[in-house]
Amino acid sequence: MSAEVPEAASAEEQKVSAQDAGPAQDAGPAQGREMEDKVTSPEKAEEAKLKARYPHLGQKPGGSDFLRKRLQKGQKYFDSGDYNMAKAKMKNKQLPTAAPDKTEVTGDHIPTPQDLPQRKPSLVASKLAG
Amino acid sequence: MAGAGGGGCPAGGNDFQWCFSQVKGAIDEDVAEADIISTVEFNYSGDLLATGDKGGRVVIFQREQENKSRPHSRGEYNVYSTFQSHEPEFDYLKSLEIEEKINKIRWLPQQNAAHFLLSTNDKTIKLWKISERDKRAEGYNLKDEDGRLRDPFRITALRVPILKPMDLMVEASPRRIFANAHTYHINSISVNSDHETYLSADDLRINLWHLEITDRSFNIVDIKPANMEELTEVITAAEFHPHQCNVFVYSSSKGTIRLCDMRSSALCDRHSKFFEEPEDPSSRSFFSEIISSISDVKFSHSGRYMMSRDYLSVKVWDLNMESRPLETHQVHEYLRSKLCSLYENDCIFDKFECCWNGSDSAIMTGSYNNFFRMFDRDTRRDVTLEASRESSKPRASLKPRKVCTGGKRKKDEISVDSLDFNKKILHTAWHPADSVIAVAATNNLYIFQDKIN
Repeated sequence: MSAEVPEAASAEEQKVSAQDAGPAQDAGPAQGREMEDKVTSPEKAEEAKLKARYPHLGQKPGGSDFLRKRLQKGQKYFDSGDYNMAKAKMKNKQLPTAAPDKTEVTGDHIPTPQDLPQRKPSLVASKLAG
Repeated sequence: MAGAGGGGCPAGGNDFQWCFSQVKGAIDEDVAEADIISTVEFNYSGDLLATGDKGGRVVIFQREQENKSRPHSRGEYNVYSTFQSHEPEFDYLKSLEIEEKINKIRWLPQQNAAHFLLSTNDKTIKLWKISERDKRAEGYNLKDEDGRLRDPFRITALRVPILKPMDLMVEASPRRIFANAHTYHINSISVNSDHETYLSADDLRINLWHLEITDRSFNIVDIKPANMEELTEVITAAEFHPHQCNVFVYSSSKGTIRLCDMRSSALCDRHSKFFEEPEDPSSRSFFSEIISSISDVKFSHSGRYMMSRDYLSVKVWDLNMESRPLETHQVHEYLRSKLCSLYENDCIFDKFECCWNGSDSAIMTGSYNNFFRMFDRDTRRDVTLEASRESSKPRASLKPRKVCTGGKRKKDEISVDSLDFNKKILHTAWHPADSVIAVAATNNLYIFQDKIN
C-alpha cells in the first residue's frame, strides 16, 4: 500500500477517533458524510491519486466500456483446438506426479503410440473430502 | 470495531463466545486454483452443509448426531458425499471458456428420504439427488452375486431376492440439467417457496424455471438495452421472498434493489418497489458507483427485511420503506482511504456475501485478512473475528480482532497496511437454527460454534 496524502491522513485520524468513540458502528451515512466534508474526503483523495497515475482514465467509470468488459469475462481463444491445447498444457503443469519424460508430448510433434502417456484421471477429488 | 474491553464481545444474541470447532481442507501454502471454495450453504435443517469450488466439485458434510460416548464430537460435520458437479466447457460460438466454478448451491426443502440441491456454474444449472443406500438385494435369479448372467438352462428353482444390509453408500446423481438459457453469466439461483419453481439470474436477465421442466424457462426480467452502448447497470444478485411465492428482488451494480411481483405482469421489467439510498452528490467520486455495487442480497427469515452487501457496508432494509435502509453497518470503513490501491489490484471488485442468523437478530459478512464481521442488531454491537490456523485449537474461543488505522498501533491490533488482501472471506453461512457458522477462507472451510456451557 502506498503512503498517504497528508489530507487523507488527518481524515483517517478523525475516523479512528470516531470509531473508538463507542459501539455505534452504524452511525449512519449522513453523519459519515458530514465528517468527510469537513476535511478532504479520503475517497476524493484516492480519486486524485488514481487520476494522477492514469490521466486517461475514462470520465464515466461505471459506463458501458467497464460494464461490457464485465459481461465478457474469461479468456478468449482462437478456436476449440486452441482451447484444448491450452487445457492439455495446463493439466501437465498441475499434475506434478506425471512422469517427466511423458509430458508435453502432444502438440509439439507427431506422437507415436509409445510416446503417449497413460490416460491420467481427469477428475481429482476435492481436498475438503480428504 | 470491537466493543469495550476487547476480551469478549459477543455478537449474535445471548451472551456467548464463538469457538473453533473444525477446519476442512489442506494446510499447504500452495493453493491450487481448483480448491478455492466458491460457495457455502446449509440445508433447511442445518444437518447438511454443502460447499462448491472452482474445480466444479461439490462436497457435502453431515452433522453427527449427539453421541454420549463421544461428547466432544457433538455437532461435528463430516464428509457425507462428494461429486463433480460441473466440468469446463468451451463456448464454440464465442470462443470462450465456460468455467466449471460452482457459483451457487441452493438446497431444496426435503420431501422424502433423499436430498436435492441445485448447483450452477456460469451457464448451466443442475439438480442433484443425494440418496443413501444401506441395503442390497441378494439372490437374483438371472445373475450371480458378482453380476455375471447365469445360464438360464442351469436355473432349476426360483428364489425371491432378499434385502441384506450393507455399508452406507451415498450416491449423487444429476436428475435435471437446465442448460442454454443464459447468454450472460449466472450469478444467482433461488428456490421459490412453492417448492416447484426457481429463478436463475445472469448479468442482464432473470429466468423462471419449473423444477420438472428443463427444455423451457420463462424470462421474467430483461434489462438488456436495445443498444449495448446504453448499458448502465447489470444485475448482481436475485432472490425469491421466503414466503410470498410471487415476490422476488434483484440488486444492481448501481446500488439499487428492485422488488418485483409476478402477479402484476408476466414480464417484471417494471418493479413494484425500488430501494435506493439517496446519495449526497457533493461526495461523489470516481469510486462511488463501483463501491455502491451490491454483491449480495438476502431476505431475512421472517420475510420482513432484506439485507444488501456493497463493498464497504451491509444495509438492512425494511420492505415497507424504500427511501433508505433501516440500518447501515460498516464492514471495513478503513478501506475508504485505500480505494486507489484496491482499484489497481482489482480487490474493489470482490463480491462479498452476507447472511442472517436463524432468528434474524444478527448478520455476518466477510472481509480481508481472513477476518469476518458479525453485527448484533439487538444489542447494536459488532465484532471482528479471524479464521486462521493459529486459533484452531479444539473449542478455543475466538479472540476479537481490531484494525488500527492511525499511526499509534496498540498491541494485538493490526494496521491496515499489514492486511493480507489475498485472504478474502467472500462466502459465509449461518446454521438456520443453531449457533453454528461456516466460513470459507480460500481453500479451507472453518466451522465455529458457540461455547458449550
